[in-house]
Amino acid sequence: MSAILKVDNLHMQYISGNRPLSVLQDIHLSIEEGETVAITGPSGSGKTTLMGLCAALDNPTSGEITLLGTLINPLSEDERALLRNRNVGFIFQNFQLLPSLTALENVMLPLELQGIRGADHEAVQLLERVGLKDRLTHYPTQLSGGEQQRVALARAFINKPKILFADEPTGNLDGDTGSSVELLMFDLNKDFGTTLIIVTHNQELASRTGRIIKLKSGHIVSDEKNVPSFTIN
Amino acid sequence: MSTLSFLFRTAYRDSRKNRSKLALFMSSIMLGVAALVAINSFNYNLRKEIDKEAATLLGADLAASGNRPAEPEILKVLDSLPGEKAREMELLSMSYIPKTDETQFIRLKALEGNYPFYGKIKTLPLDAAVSFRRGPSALVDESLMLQHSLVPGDSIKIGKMMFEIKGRLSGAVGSIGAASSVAPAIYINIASIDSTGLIQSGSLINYAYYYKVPETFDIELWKSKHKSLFRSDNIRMETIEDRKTNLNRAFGFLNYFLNMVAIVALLLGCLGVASSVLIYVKSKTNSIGLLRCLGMKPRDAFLVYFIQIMVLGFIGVVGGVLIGVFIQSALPLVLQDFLPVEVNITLSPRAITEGFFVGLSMTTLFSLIPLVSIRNISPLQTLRVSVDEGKIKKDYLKTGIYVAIIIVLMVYLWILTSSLLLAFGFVAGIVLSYSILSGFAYVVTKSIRRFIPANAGFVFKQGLSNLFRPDNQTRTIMVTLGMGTAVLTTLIILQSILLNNVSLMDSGKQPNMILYGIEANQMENLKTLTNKSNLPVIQEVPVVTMKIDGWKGKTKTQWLADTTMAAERWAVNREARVTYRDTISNDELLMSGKLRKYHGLGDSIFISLGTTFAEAMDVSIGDEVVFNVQGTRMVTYVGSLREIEFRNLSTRFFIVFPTGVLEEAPQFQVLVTKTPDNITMTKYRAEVVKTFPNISVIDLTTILQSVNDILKKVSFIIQFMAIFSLLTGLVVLISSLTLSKYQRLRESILLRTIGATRIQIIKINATEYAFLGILSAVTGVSLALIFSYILTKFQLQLDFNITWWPVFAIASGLMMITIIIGLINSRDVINNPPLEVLRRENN
Repeated sequence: MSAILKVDNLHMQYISGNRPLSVLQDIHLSIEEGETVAITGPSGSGKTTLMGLCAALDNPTSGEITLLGTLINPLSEDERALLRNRNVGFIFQNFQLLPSLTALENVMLPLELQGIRGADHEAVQLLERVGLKDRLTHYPTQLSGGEQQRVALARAFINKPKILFADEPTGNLDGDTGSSVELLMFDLNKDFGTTLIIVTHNQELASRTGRIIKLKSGHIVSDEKNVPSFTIN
Repeated sequence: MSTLSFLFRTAYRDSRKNRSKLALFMSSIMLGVAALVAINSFNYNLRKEIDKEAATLLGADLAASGNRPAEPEILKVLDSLPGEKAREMELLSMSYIPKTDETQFIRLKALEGNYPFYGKIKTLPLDAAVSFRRGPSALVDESLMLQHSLVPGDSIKIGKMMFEIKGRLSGAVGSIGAASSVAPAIYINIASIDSTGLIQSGSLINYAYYYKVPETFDIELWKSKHKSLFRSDNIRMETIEDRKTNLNRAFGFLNYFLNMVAIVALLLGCLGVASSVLIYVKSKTNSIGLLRCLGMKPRDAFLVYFIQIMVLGFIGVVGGVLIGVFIQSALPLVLQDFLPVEVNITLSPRAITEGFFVGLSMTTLFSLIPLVSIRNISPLQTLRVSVDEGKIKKDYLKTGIYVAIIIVLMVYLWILTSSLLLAFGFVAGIVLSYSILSGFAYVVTKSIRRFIPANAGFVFKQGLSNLFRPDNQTRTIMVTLGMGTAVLTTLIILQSILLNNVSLMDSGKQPNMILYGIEANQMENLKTLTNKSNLPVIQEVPVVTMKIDGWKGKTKTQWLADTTMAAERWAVNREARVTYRDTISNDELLMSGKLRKYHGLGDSIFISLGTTFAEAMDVSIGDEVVFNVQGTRMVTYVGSLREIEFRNLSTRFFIVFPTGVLEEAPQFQVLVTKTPDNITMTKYRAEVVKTFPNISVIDLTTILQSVNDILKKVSFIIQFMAIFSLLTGLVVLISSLTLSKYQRLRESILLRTIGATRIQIIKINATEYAFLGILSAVTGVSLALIFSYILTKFQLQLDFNITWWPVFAIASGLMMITIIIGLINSRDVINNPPLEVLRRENN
């Protein structure tokens, strides 16, 4: 197996009130294809910043990030957009569906961005897979939180991503709904053979991944293999 | 790049649930473009009609006119023209209507020949236009006939002669409504004029000679060949081409004013466009961040929203054009009375094309200002709600858009006004206003931050602090509100200045009746009649007519041949009406020199000149001025200069001789009196006309009434225009304040969440909006005062005499509306649970 994501000597600094604020320091990590990884840590430890950088959503202050064999630091915004669109999937805590698009249209969006026509067939199949066959033409406001996150899951997998970033994917859901969404996410991940990186506070969710990276004050304090455990509430 | 069809599809889908959010955007465009199209359509129609009607308005190919009969040698040259000729004498006089035993001030036109050669005198019955030319017959203005219930067959006495009314005059050649309302016209045959006894020394008569030449004859060429012959004589030549130019010039100010109002309405609309698109983009930040996150390129994300705005903008512009075409039909109804031609309401392709393209390009450019920011929206927006946008460096594209706006505006104004200087001045005015408003907003926010009272209550401090906190919209709102207020207030101030200047003239202390054309032997009898009617003789002024023969050592002929002549032609060519006295009147102010008496033969004659006239003559104290006093050459020197107050209604003279010089010259007298009421005035006037038919009585009250009526109509036009500005201003106000809604919403929700009461939220928001309203009103009104002062003093040359209450009304109205709209924007937070509001706003 080869590294799908490689981070070397990563530093991230913001300017806050005219003073530099170091958010990430000296981060080194390598994630192999097909791995499931949880990045955990207390609030302000730099989890979301690390994910944003790894997903080519932001530029680091220093250090190198290689995603899918491509060094992303020198890439232009357009090149990064293309990289994300073809290879990366996202799941967010607050679902991030476009409110003016129906469930089906939201799911089709990444393929349409690639210029693929007739993406509705695949989108319908995926929505069926996440149990929303009857909700194709519903707008996000007409769906429950769990349903919205399932639409987001379908959207995340429609472009058959090589790597999926999930930011607190069950953070906005109640226990039961959260668990079923988790299950669905891991199932889809397995089916599509995607590398999964989850940012979470939730230790139970983290325990379902094969590797747990703990962050504290911008440093990696531990990076350990884990035997995934599944319990359904 | 994504395919165009995908971008259009995404744009369509994205806009689906948000089109109502763009209602402000659409209404801004529609109002702005509608104003532009309506006003310009009317303008172009007017110009087209003037060009079309110029021949009819002049009635001939060439008109030569002056206030003296043409000299025989001039007449010989004129009469050598091939084709037909006609003659006209025009004077202001009194008439007597036996049927009602009333008198009426009229404009008498005595015609000879088949004038008008083009167009016709419109009469009822139709044959009256021909029959009045035979015998002592008259055509009488429609309004006068209606006023005195006259019908054809009735009589009217003009001077000593009784005329039979042959018909009603409903449209005279070149007659303009405003002029005929001051003195209605009466047409008679020129053969009858002598028998009226009105042609006497002192009568103010305009002599006109009309010529119709064969189509093959080049009248312009003929005119330019004979230019030198007419130059020295007091005669004015006018061809159809001249009439076109003159008419266009005469209505130039109206044109200019209308153009400016249209452009300002469009600009206000554009401010509304920029604010509403900014609101839209802000509400879409999250969606844009997500599209970017999913792999959409910055340019494509921009295009998705650009397409939406352009499609709606296109619809808005087309809607605006249609509304404008509809509204333009109302303008002739308002303006018709002032126009020499009937303006046919036809579609003006130029106005429509201009409205469409200018509207579309301005909409595009103003939309682009907020739209280009989309390129900078980070995909990180999906992970963190507040991404620091302050990191974004200066966007040169935005600077380019501002430059493009200025260029488009300047080019369009240049096309409209045909003057690069005017276009530049106007654009500079806009940029200056923007800078003043923006600078003032900056100073205000800094000052509030610095001087916010430490011991003020939380609610007050919180409201005030909102003006300078991060993401505040203070500057944007103050600029847009201030601009709107400035335009509206300028219009209202100009309107009040026009009306106030007239009402000052009409004040109780002023004389209201002037009698002129009084012969020396009639004066005593007239004074007796006046005293018998219990009326005062306020002024008794002798008037001598003379011509200027030369000045500063050269004859007039020499000067006219001299290309360095600085004197203005109107001043040197006029037949001067001069009085003599050794004192300054109440309406005058001695500016330099002194009134020097004449001590008899051998002494130099020192005259006093009005400052305006001296400037026009290019003479100053000590300069020589030579007059031709009805055949006698008289050398004088400028002894003093007087500033003459023209606002007062009395006789006033540019040239005043000392006593002892002109007493023996042929002259007539003017008597000024004041009648207390209409009954006395009518009675006195009737007696004067009966006893002295040659004396003209000018009833200033009637003239003032007519001027007042005209100004009321002008005010109505201004108000009509102000409605455009008001409507667009209101849209701008709503969109600007809606902008601030998004800034305050989360803050208010948080305050509600941690326990702020409804009343506290209301007070905080009311404080913020009240300050915004007050500050915008103060800056807007201040700018309006500066603009209107400049316009009044330098363009209209009137006293800067304002009625203040409308200004205060606008200022307080703006403040109230700002608070009300601000509170309406906060009603969601006040009336609903915080989370419900958040959920709704996020969707």
